Amino acid sequence: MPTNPKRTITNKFVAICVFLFVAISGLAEAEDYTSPSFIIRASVVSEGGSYSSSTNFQLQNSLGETVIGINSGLNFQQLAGFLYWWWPSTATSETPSATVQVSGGGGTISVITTGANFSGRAYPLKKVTILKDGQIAATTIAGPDSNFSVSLTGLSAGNYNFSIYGEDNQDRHSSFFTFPLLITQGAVATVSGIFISPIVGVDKLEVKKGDDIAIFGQTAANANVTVQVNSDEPFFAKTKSDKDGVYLYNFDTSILENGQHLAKSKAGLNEEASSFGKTVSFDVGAKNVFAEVKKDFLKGDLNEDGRVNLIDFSIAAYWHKRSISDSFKLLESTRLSGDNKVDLIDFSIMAYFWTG
Amino acid sequence: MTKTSKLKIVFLLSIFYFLFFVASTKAAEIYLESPFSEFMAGDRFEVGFYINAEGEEINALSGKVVFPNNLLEFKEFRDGSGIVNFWIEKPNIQSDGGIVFSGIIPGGYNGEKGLIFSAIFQLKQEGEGTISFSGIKVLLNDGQGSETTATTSDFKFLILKKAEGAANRVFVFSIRDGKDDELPEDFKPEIGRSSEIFEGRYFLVFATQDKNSGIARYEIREIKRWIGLENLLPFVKYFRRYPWIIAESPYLLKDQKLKSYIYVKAVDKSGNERIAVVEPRYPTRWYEKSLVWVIILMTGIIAYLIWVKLKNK
Repeated sequence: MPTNPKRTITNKFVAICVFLFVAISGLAEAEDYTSPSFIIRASVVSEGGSYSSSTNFQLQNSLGETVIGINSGLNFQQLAGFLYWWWPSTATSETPSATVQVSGGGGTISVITTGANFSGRAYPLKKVTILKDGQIAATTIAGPDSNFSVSLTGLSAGNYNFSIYGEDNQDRHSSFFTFPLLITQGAVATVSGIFISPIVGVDKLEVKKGDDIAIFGQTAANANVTVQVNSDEPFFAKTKSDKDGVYLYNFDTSILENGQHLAKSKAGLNEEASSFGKTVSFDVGAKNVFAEVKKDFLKGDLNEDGRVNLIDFSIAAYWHKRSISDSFKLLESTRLSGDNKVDLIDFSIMAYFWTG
Repeated sequence: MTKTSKLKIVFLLSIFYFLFFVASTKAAEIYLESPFSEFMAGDRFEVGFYINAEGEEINALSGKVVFPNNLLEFKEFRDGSGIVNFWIEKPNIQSDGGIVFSGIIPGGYNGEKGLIFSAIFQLKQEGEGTISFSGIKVLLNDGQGSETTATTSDFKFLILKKAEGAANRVFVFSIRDGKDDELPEDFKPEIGRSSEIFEGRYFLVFATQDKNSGIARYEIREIKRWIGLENLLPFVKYFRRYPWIIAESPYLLKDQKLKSYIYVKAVDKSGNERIAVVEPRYPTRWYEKSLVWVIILMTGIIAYLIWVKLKNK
């Protein structure tokens, strides 16, 4: 039977296509990987990411799992493949040349680290944020005992400005716990004993003289709270927070003069004490005006996302030394200084209410 | 009461006033400092501008640095280890020869020796001169932008005649051990949108620090594919259509549909680079990728041809 040349070409084409298809598909084959604590079935690790770096290494792209196992050199160790997983560092106080295990997808490298550890008290089971030079470096949740600890690694040696704040059960921010810190090469600095100041609120904007005003807020669990009310002379009152860190003091206003007053609070526990937190104002007058239960907007928050950060800074910087638009005037009047211009005062307000 | 007694009372009251009012007045101090003060014409030297908050917590400052233009030429500023986190106006030379600056410190600063920035000057000719401040404003971290008083002190320097055959020297302190192989700090750019700027279009904000020499510039690349492929497939023209471009924050995004990867490269003054990646907010779906359709088409053709072959048997 004579061979049909057209059919032969078709057969060859089909064979090549099938071969290519199978060959390409074969590259995607995967196998299972296990460790004592997990199993990954039919995994595929592709090369990805941008690069990781430190003072003494630079990893361009993450590594695929062509070869798994441990490779090591004088100052690095690669644990390639899915067999290795991230594990937390063992933080050591003031330890020069402390090491930490750091890993990326499919590869792990051990390097000498430079970093900082932070620990202290915030509000039970509430968020704590650490700002490094004004930008969020880490967030964590305090334990039921109000304690938190955070480790930052991979920092460069140099001067840093760290700020730490807590959030309460109404997502209000505490005042900053701020400190400059000099980080030295190859050492981990430890900052302990941080005590986030309490958050304070009042139940009335104006209180009838002689009536009580409720001064309340949140701090560490089971802490001793000192409430200060400023008048011509300051009045101090003591109360205790409960297991959730919530405290309340009913202040008798009969001892206060008519007019505006400020309240603030600080907390103490086991020989440790916070500084006074932000103040809240109220008037003593002829009638009671209750504070509305609504979430206040945040001063400095120009894009209304509940945060004050570089985005808001950029919006304000756009209007710096320019005559502001009518729509921005409204924003400026409520969220900045309200003087119809954007100057250093507005940026200072923004820096005070900064959340990162 | 005798005249002597009256004088004694006035004298004592003056001392009382000084001790309890004047001496207790807090004022932030802004001063200049450099480990070097005597130079030769042609040298370069670095001087630091510092603040002592004197126990107060400050969060914003601005001012102007004045120097003799006939003796000094401003070359560059460095803020690697500075306390100012965000510049409203980066230190820059004005037409009148002064250097203006303004910036903020979120969270505040209450230390005694905070570097605001340092400046490197080239010395033009021999002579004596002074670098000083004018129009300094320091604001408190009190939520109201209250201004605190600030005192300033000057920096005096002496430029000697250059010795014959002597080489020009460089006196800098901002780079540790004279070398800088550290990358800029890790950072996370963010996408923002506001009706108040860029007509409500998406923009990108970014900032980082380099603790050694300071940041020189930022570069941006918006691209729909992962740029790691570029190293593997350098011949593909697609990548050349999206080169790195020098940018400043805030940066108006070209891809307003937010389907692109955004790569931001921070480059320090020693050339070290750090790249941060923003993943596409609305990644391209599988059916929007032409490669997927090519594979489907190929599979369809193969299936058809196999079917034809089997049918003809």
